Amino acid sequence: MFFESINKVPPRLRKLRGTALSMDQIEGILVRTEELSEGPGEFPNALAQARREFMESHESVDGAWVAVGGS
Amino acid sequence: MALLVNGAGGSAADPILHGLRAQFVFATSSFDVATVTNAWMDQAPGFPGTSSISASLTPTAATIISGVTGSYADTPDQLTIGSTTGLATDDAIYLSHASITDGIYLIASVVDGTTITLQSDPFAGGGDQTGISYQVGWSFIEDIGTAPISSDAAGDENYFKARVADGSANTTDAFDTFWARTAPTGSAYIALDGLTYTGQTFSDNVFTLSILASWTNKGGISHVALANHSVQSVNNFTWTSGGGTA
Repeated sequence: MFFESINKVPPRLRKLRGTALSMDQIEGILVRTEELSEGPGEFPNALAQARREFMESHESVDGAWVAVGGS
Repeated sequence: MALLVNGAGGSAADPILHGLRAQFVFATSSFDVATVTNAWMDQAPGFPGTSSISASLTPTAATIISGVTGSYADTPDQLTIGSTTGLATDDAIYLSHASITDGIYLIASVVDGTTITLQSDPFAGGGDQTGISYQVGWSFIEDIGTAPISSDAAGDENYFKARVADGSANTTDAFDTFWARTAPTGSAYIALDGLTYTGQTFSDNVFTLSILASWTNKGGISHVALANHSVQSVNNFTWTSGGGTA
């Protein structure tokens, strides 16, 4: 777990393309980012890849990200 | 991406004097800069710029260091990040954590390959911390008035610009401006007891030194008060900033 609560997440990491992320979604993206990071300079590229993967499996609906096919 | 470009803060009415050394920083609060595409110092708005300074940045434009798992040890006041390769004293780093005011801080020292200390350390005394988000920023350090920074007698406007991209090639531009003025000279700007500052002999125990007296806001300096000289062998003085009344 990277952050104890949503209030401790940097504001710029709480949204994706202007739509708010849930705490679980933020943590999921960051966990994937860490998995993809191959070195200390790779964090931004890994974050971008993790975000791309997230957006492939989620869609923005009524101001929130929901899993594709979910309700 | 949120790109911050922090100029020196000068305005037309409050310019920076030629010859002063200044540090201009750009950084992000989104921790996702993958590429510093370019940076410029120009005398006109607009992107792309014309006078590139990307080869003069510190750390180098190729130094990309960011993450969300930084940690702080309150003893001995050290911040651990993913890497310190390419970093040096006075380099900038954007930090975000619930225990501090998010913003740009300067490195005091590079301890080892993963650890730094901070100037005006915001974490000091607050205990150990984890989950610190960080991204190294990039600085351009130069004397005001030295090319490509331009100055003139009335104050010249300079544009500090940056263009960066994230790992998906999304580009973000940002800029800030400041004014640079050739330093004024003569008794109109520096006066002793209301007279020219050279070639005078004064006998006065309430001596008045007025700096930038003819400048609209006195360059931010209110007045300089010399101590009463009647009994002192050393003439100490007090510098009061803030502009306004003399």
